[in-house]
Amino acid sequence: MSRTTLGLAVVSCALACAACGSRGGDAEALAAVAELENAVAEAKREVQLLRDVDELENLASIYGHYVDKSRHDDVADLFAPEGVVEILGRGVFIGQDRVREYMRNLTPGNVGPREGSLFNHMHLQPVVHVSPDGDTAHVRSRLFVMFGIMNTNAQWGDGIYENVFVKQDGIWKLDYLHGYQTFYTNYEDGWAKRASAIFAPYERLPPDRPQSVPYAPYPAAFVPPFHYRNPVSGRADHYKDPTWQDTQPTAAQ
Amino acid sequence: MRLTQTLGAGSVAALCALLLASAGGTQEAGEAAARLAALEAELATLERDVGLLEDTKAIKRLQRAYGYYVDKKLSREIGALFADAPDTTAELGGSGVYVGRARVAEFYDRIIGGEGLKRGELYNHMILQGVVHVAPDGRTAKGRWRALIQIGQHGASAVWAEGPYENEYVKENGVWKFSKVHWYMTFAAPYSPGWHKAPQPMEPPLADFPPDRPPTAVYAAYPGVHQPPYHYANPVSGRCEPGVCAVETKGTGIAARSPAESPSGTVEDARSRLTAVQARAERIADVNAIQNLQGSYGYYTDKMLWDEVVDLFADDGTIEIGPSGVYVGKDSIRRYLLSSSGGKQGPLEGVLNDHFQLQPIVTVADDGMTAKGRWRLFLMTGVSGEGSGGNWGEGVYENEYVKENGVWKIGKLHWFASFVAPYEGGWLDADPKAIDAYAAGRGVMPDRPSSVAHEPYPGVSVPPFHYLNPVTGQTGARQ
Repeated sequence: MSRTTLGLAVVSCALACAACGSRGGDAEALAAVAELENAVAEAKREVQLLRDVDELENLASIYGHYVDKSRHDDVADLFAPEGVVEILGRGVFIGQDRVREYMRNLTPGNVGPREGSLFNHMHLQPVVHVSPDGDTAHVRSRLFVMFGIMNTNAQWGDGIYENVFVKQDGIWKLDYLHGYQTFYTNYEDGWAKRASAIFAPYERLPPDRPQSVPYAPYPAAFVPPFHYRNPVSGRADHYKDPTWQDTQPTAAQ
Repeated sequence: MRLTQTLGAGSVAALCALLLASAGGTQEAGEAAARLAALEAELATLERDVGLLEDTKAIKRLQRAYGYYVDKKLSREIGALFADAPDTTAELGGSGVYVGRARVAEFYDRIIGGEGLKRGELYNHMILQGVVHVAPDGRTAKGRWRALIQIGQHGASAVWAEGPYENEYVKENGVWKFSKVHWYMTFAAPYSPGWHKAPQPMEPPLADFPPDRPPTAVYAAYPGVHQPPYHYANPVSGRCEPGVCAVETKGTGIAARSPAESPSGTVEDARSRLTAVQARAERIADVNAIQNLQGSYGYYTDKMLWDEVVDLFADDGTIEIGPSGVYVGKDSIRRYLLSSSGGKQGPLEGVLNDHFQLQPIVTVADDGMTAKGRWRLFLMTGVSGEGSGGNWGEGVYENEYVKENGVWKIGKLHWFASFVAPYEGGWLDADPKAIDAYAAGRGVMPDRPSSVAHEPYPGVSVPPFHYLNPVTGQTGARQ
């Protein structure tokens, strides 16, 4: 190709590009990329929420597996520094140090599983909702306890957890663990014959606040408040907690 | 003759590109290319993340399918869930270690007493409370699970047992399989008088089919004490106490991705990749939504919040509970539910109606508009009072779901009872007729007769599985 031909080529190239709108085409390409960037960012947010659900399911299960073996420090470590625990009628304990105190108090002077002691703490049926910003989550789950002291007694325990989780520095932590008592009963009796009254605060470990929702367990009629609306109808008129917040609008709303 | 005609338009374009490139191109073109390359890197991360979510779902399905097969002593199906690799192992309680798929399969067949649940046998193996971690490379995974076990020989024995699994999984040709199953026995005890009075010692290794290796951990079941190590460090503090936690590697292990400098495809390619990965994420979100839906069914049913329950159904939804017959549509469903609580709804003083919804296997159709789900019901009911004992119940749901206007609803709820038995004595002498408490005849007749004949324990019935064996893809377990 001669210089002249090359020169001609440059000219016709410029003409051709001008004809097809070179700068306009680049701007279009840029706009298409920008649009895709927004879509990818939205997809990333949605996928992160799905990852959050899996992490929360793991965390809820991990809590139960630790309680099984009276690993009180591992349990307390799952809480945020300002985390709160409220179980049965024991009252409200505020802050991770108090949570640790509460957990250790379950088996005074001992951490870890003990000879002759069964403390199975099944954590089941999670219903998980992560807030759209991915910073908080609510999980309703079911507690089923097999308790035993060899040759002494055995009990069933049954309850509902309505727990709140918070994500701090990318890690999900327990922010408010709230366990409602459905029933506790001796193995020999069963729930229908006899069920314990609400477990009152420990004398040796008074709470920071009394229980937040006063109620009587089975055989009384009580519905532990739901953190979410009906997933299909959006119905929210049943058994609202006074502190219930409308954090879970559904698609039906 | 015009040069363009001589060289052809394509050559001119190529030459243009060359010239523009040599001149540094326009700023926009360069920026677009760089941003597209960055987008491709983000898409690759998204694809990896969604792949790991799919892996987690697949592993949960595998583990729960295992439990449903153990229920019915389907030992051929169980054996097929293991990887055919020399380092595949299984160890249950004090059994010792069986190595390789063939040995593992025969071990299961022997320990459960031969293929297929027989009349008069109960062998419920609930797989609960999973903690699953997939390795960042998506090739291996670990899971901790709880097995809650109900064993029965009708009229002769009824046994509770419980303990955690710490299992390992491997992905072979895109299919997740067990590479290691290890169940730690916490306790086993006869229903009467219970674990605190008569716990059973661990079974020794099978004398007539000895293991390939001795037990990896020697311990006594309850009242002895043992801490089966967790495969994970504390997820918040990162603490991993020796003897309590057995973690081989720390950190996420995710390799740093070198930033791409130039795109390997076009904007259209990237867009279609995004569409594909979004569709995969949507199927995962569907499974999660259905788990919330069915979980809510259980929580509402606990408290007989029938308005809430009926709301969960599609307009043409159906319900069939054991021998109840089929109730079609919301009005019929409401009538049936109300008939179970004397025409009242809401929590009733003295009435326990706990409906645990456990062990989900949810299968969403490719179009994302319908789904099926197998679940386990664990039931505790009773009316309070000295003369009353309360009841246990157990069984399996095979349900169907429909997505309408983006909302998942129950299309069909069908519970197959495995037993309903009194608290006193448990399932020892379970009367198959106890299930008739759920039959029609409380003044509310079904719209259709029962869809299946089904005899609870001590009878044997295997509720048809809506899914194929997750490893073989075969229909062997279907009835």
